[in-house]
Amino acid sequence: MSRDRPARRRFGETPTVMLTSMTDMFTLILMFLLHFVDPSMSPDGQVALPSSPAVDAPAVAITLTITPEQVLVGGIAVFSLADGAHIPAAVERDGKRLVQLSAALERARAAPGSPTPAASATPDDDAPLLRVECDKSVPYTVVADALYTAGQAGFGRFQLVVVSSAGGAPAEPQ
Amino acid sequence: MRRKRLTETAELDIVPVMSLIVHLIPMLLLCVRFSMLAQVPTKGQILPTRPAESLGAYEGQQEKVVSVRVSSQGFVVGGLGDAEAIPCTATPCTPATYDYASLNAAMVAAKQLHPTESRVVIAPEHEIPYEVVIQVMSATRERLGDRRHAPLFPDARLASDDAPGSAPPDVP
Repeated sequence: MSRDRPARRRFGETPTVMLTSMTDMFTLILMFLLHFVDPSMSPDGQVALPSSPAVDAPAVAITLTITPEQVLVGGIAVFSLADGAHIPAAVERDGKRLVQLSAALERARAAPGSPTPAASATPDDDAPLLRVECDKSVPYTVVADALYTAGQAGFGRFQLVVVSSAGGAPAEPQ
Repeated sequence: MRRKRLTETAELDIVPVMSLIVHLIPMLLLCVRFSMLAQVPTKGQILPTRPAESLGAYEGQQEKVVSVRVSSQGFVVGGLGDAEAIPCTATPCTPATYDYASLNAAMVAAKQLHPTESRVVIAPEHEIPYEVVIQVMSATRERLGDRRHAPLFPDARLASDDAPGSAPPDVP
């Protein structure tokens, strides 16, 4: 009987914990998360993106974000929306063009290190690309004004970011 | 100081590393979004929409230009000869009650009339939610429910009633 009983630990002896297997596991989880998390590709939490069966992955580009509260370029607020996600009358306009937004987009394009589109086959695809993350509840008039302004600021292509409702593997970024 | 014996192994203190990893993992888990993002491409130009100058020009638009006008009553599709109205499945129209399946069927019919055309003009009214615009773009891009993703009109151009420009009227 006494032989089966585990030996008592001596007084003052510290127990050792084997951390090697746990370290291996944590390292694998860390590698997995670092591989899949790309902060530049995560939309702002304030934006409820619409869903679509599209599968083309969005590319890294200058981002125009339209939430029900405000319009942002590269994460920096340009102006606030009011009265049910509408552009307030106080926002300066030049016809349909929104002056503040146009200036912010031009600044973002001119900034050193701003994302540039990858070289592509057709000259049309070389036009500056704007990534648009817009809340699904925003009325079209706000989107149209913002996109018109972006077009006037030199952006020739837009990629409207959506949550893919299609199954299967994502396509490579354009 | 006494020398270590040859048989004695040095223990590596990995507790700080573990502490760092334990902090990093919750932070990364907070950042990660388990949804797949995609993109719907469109050209960087908002086309103007204007009424046709004459009945003949209007009929010409109806035949030549594949277009979808989105209103608070439903869709009006151009490019099929006569404009085809597709009302919502229930009133009042909400993003869920627009009849995207019928719109997709109309686009399949339009593609048979215009097999070489890839452009479609989408002209939503001002108060239409962005969600509806995206759904319309999806319904015009490819055959819905087709796993082969057969393309219909992938080159979507957005239009607005008050967009300035000298482009010809595209939408009836």
